[in-house]
Amino acid sequence: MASGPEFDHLFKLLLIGDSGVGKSSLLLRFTSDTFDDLSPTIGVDFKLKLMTLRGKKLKLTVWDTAGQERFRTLTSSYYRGAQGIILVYDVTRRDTFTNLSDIWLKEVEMHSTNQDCIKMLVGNKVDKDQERVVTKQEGIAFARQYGCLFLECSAKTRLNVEKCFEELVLKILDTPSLLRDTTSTRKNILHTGLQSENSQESSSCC
Amino acid sequence: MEIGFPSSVRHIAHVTFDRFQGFLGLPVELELEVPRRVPSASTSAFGVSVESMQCSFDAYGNSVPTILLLLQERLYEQGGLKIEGIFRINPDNDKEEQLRDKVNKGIVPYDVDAHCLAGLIKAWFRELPKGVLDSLSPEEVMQCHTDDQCISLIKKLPPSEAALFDWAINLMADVVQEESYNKMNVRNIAVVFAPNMTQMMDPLMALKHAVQVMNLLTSVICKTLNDRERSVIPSSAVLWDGSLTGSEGEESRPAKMLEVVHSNLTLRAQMGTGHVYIEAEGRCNDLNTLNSRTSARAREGYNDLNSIKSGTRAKELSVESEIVEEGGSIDGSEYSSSVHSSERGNGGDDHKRFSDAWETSSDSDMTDNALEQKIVKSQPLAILLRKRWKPITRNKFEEFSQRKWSLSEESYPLKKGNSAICSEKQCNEKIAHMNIQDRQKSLEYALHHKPWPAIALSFMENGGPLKKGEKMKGMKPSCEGLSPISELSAYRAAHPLSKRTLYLKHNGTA
Repeated sequence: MASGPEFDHLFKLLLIGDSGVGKSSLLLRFTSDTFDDLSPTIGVDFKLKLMTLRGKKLKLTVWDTAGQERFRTLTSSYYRGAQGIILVYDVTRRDTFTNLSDIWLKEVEMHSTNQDCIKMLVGNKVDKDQERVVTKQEGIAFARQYGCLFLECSAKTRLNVEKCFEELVLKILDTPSLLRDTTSTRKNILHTGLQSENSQESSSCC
Repeated sequence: MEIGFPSSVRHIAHVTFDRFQGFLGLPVELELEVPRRVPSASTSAFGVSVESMQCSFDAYGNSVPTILLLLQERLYEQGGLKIEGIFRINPDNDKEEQLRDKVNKGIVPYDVDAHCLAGLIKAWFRELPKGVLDSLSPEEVMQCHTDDQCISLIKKLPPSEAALFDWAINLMADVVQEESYNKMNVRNIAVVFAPNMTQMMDPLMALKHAVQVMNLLTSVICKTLNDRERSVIPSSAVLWDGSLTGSEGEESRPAKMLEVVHSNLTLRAQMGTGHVYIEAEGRCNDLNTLNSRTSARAREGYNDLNSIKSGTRAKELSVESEIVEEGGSIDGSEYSSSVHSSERGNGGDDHKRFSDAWETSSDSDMTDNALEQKIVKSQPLAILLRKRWKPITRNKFEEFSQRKWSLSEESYPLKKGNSAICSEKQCNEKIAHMNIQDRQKSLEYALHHKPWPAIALSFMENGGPLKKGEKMKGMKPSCEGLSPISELSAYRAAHPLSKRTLYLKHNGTA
């Protein structure tokens, strides 16, 4: 990367969903391919991942939000400017599925600034097949109703984890309105506090 | 369909109603359908200051809103503490709203999702007009690094907040104690509770502050857990020497001794003679220093018994059984007054009430009294009772008993049928055929294995021959009265508000 921009597009992705559905585990699997018993997330966490798709260098900033209700007011400010939102539920707990339409989609509607932002429904923990209570058909129906992409995955067995991020990103790449302001000019996308972090990041990988 | 006149009418109860007290004299089985008083001066239980709410005492003597105790009680009843991710997992939004409506009417129904209960407890804290820890400045919290600093900081809280905080800490400690089931360790529970303890407008500041509060909570919970671990009762060993029965020459009154050895204290409950006294001594490994009337021997292996049987417990349980007998202790204040009356020991009706069970030794001086009070306070009944159900105790005992003795089934008359419920007469008959050692073993068994104190106590009563005509002095609760002194009353004592629970469990409907 001696010359040219460090990346072609910078995307902001967001993970939301009830507490304990495995948002942080999913992200950990995606970014560092490990799995661990994780503590509840405090507020917001974020991780970077570089990937190449269709010959384009992409930099993903994935924001992992806390599912705890108290943090909702806080996390809502992170919806701004997200190109992709991953709605996670736990296939072994129906509440987490019903709360997506009751709570989380409303949050998205209220706080998201990108009209065309891509939503992706992800049913996690399919490794616990015995305890499954939400069927794949229900997931598909939900996704169809609300216009989301849909995948079932397992952060534990890494099944479909990579794929779910990839599909989301491909869809974003297919949506021209979302590609505005995502090129390497970093202004407008990242704000003060983050900018320094970001420049550090870039200098370290160059 | 024609409805005829009512037949076989009986007068069951005289019920009155007034707008302040609600229904009085209502049979307990009808109570469920009738909403209680609105739990606060306003029409909501949430978002209302503590001062305007109806409060009760919890098992630790904290005055907290009754509605919180009810939520807690239901949560415990439903085994909520053992559910994976309790307090972390969000409840179903609709269900939580439904429950919230009911709670606002003063009802906490039975068949609710434990996560809803946990969620509402958190929500209650979150929606307080002022966060519980808001009186501490963020700077102060930030500067807290050591445990001692945290403790001293917590002491700065105003009384009502301090009570709430202590209640919450104990709740969290209870959760952590079931970590093997619920996977909520100290950090996890602190993370999910911390943001509900403070209120800040600026989200970023709130986040930073939440982290500090989380550290604070972690320290305090750890300290609470350590205190529980170290506290007199659970970690102490019981020594009992049965060979002393009637060994005092002239005096043939059964005189048995319960000894509790602890790092700083020796508790002695001398049974049968009507004296309970507690003495401070150094670590009493040298048992020759014990009371001259006995030659209690240290039993190997007792140290690793995390059992909770002790003189104090026996004593407190006698208080408990008293409560059960009276059957009237419904609210927290009554409960605590009963306990206190046993502390007082030397006065008035209260004393009389307990006197045929136990007397506080009249020759105990002030320091002993103070000490006793301290012990009773530091180790409320609730912990004892809750601790009793810890599976580890049982496992440890089994492991221990197999290793040490491998006694046959017959040696443990109480074990049969997996229950200590047998009539007093049966017990006595069994004991009569046993030599003193076996008797002792079965007592030990009862003490260490069975949660029912009355068995152990009545064993002791019957330990020695009585002179003819001498009136037996002993515990009120007999073997026959055992069933109330079981899990039900454990709950009841631990959660003073659970009168209705008791009823429902008796009838098998809960």
